[in-house]
Amino acid sequence: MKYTKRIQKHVFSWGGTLLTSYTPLLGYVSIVGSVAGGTQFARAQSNDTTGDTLAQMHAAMLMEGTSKHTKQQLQILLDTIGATLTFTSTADRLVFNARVHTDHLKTLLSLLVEILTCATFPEHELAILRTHMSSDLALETQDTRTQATIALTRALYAPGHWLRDDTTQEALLAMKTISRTTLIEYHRTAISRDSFVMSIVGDIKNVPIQTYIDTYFKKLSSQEIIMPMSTTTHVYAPQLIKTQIQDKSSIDYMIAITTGITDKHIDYPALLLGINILARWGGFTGRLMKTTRETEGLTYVAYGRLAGFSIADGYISIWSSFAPELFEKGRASINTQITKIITEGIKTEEFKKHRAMFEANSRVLCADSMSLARTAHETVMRRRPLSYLDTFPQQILTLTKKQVESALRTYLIPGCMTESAAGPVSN
Amino acid sequence: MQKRAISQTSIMQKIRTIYGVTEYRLPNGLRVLYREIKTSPVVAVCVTYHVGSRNEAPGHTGATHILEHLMFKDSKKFNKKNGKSITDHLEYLGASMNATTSLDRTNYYELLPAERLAEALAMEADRMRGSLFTDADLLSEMPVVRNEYERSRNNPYEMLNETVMETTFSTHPYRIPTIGTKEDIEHSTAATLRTFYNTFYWPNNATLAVFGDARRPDLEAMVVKYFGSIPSSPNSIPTMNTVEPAQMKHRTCTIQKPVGISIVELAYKTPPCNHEDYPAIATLVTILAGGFSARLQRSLVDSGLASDIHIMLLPTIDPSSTSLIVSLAGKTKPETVLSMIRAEIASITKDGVTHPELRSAKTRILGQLSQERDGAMNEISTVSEAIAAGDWTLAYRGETQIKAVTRKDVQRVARTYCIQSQETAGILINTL
Repeated sequence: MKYTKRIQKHVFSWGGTLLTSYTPLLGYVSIVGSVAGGTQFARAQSNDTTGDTLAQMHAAMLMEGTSKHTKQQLQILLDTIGATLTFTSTADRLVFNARVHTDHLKTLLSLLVEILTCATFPEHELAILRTHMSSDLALETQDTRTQATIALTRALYAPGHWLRDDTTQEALLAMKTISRTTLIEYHRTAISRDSFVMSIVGDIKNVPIQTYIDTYFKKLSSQEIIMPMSTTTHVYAPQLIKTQIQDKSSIDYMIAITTGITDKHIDYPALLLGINILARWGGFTGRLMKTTRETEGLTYVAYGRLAGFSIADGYISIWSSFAPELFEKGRASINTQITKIITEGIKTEEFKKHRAMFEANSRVLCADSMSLARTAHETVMRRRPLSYLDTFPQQILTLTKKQVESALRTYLIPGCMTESAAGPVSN
Repeated sequence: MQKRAISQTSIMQKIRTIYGVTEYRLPNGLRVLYREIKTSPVVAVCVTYHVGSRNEAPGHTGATHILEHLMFKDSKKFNKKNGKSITDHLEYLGASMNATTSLDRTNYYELLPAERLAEALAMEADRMRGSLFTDADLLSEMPVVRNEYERSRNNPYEMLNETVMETTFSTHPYRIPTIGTKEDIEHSTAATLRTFYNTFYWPNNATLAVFGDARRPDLEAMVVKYFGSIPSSPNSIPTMNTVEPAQMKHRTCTIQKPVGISIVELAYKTPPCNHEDYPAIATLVTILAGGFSARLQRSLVDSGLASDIHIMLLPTIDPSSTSLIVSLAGKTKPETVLSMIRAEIASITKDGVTHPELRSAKTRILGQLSQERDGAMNEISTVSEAIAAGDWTLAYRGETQIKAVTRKDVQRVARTYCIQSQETAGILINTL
């Protein structure tokens, strides 16, 4: 069944958008919603110095109490109705994920609005959040994959770019400077109903969801959230960055390159298919899994993806991990395969198979309610019609081998790529 | 052989239909579970072999897991020579596929467009007895497995849990991590793994589950066509009879690593998943640590002493353990956290739990159970765990069982299982 037939869309007069899909689910619903904001908006609000951390702390503090309920009362209310509710900050949105029994949907939505409108950011809870974050960041300093990613994005993108990560140390310092006043001020400017999108999937037959949303969420303030423009970085930074983390058994390795394009660019579908052929994420049929893993036995994983293209000019990223003594061999193997796909092109048969696979796999990706809710939310939040979910796989089917090879040659340039390795990597 | 398979169509025995799942048995011993789910045009297939790391002999730890890797190499009908390797064949049809190994089972699964069901069944049937892995396959796969092992060594929670399990169990194979020891992994041979395969990979030691958008008559015909002619094992499947001796006193273990934070894991010996006390134990640990308002969430995390707490409840076929795992914050001492957990348990042992606490914990667990059955793939994974625990209906009985748990039950299981002599306290001290 087409996604367009499975999902209903309703736009409210006050600007919000509701997406719903009925799925029998033992009486439960999965919810994904968001408003504009996130780390980039926070960067703009805080003159860039503490933005990422500000947005993350804001999301974390939302559950710490409102003017109507203390943190403990909120927790008891949520537990009593068996609801899960989390807030997270992405680059350009404040996102809420929830799951609740249909009977309690109304209560949950009412609580959600209360949190968004009346959060109080208590001082003593902020102090505790700082303690938690210090622990999490201490753990992060020893996480080989995270540290390899941070070093990579900092080499790829100039300061201020949406896809450039803060270092763990920067996050730690920022966390210490963010006060309750900063959070309250940020909250005042960051929540607006105008950009509200919510996707609800599950047992929703005979539930007046539109009425609920209209009643509760139009109470959110209406204000223009002006998102800063992402600067474009399209320079190459060929280098190997090594981040020493001692007493680890495995090295996380990434190789990447900026592209200067977003997912709206005409070359995007061809590049996406090309990277799938090289290193399909999560599968076994990418060339790297077939060679670096299966034939050469050098690694457990070798996956590639197009990162950040939905929010900025993205980068092609390939991730793998190696035993220290196999690191150079593994790295050479991945580089060889990258060079090979550019110089020798792709085989007609593998092209046709991957093209068909993309379309077929798109049909199994939303097989549970949370995946469907997330996908529908992401599509509309990115200002795309729901029909995109059906038409994009069809668009992939129309691609030619020539287009894919051309996209790979244009954007994946051996010798211009940035490598990042973290773990017991010797100098 | 084909002729014999066709004649078996009529003798694919329907055992029962319960919880919307129909259970069949083939003459070769293969159990088949089928449930029609039409919410999405997909079908999930899962073959669960009743063999996990608990079935490994000393010196061969990790064999189940290495074999799981080798099961993705060539089989008689699906191989590189004929251009239909196992992974290529299904992924190119749009399938998401993989396999996992755990203490009590190994499972192989695919989620694919509904019209491709026959291809998945053909492949699973072929590799059940037709796997052709070679010495060369093992040689190339060994560093892959080793890399997986090394990656797990990078995770402080896994490191601590392995130490705790090794301390908790003195003789039962649960003491060894599923991935095995490095020495055993490196000394594996294709011959030993072939013997392991020939011992455990038979239809009478497996359960095939098919959940999704598949019509019953089609499914029945396909199962007989592909699995009907596979013979059952010539020998009986060996059973694992090691019984863990009773733990007589409290155990501790400490490791020191530069991991960023210190972590505490407090484990108690608990009964198997199909034991009547299991639902009450699940409720007890939920009241302690499984929700926004759980007791230890309040006293440890909300107070700032810890940054996180989570539960590890192992749904095993043999008695195992249930753990509370706490990530410490700031300068909190591990001993402080251990004392606070014990004090909270002592309070439940003495005074029991309140009505609102019980009601809230049950609501949370019921929510989790519904999530475990959200979509064909989630549901089939849940059923696979229940199969491993010895009874697939456990996947569906949980709701009734949880609803029946009383305050007295929670207090009783706290008194029975959460006692000092049954405890293992593990501490990972951060040396940074």
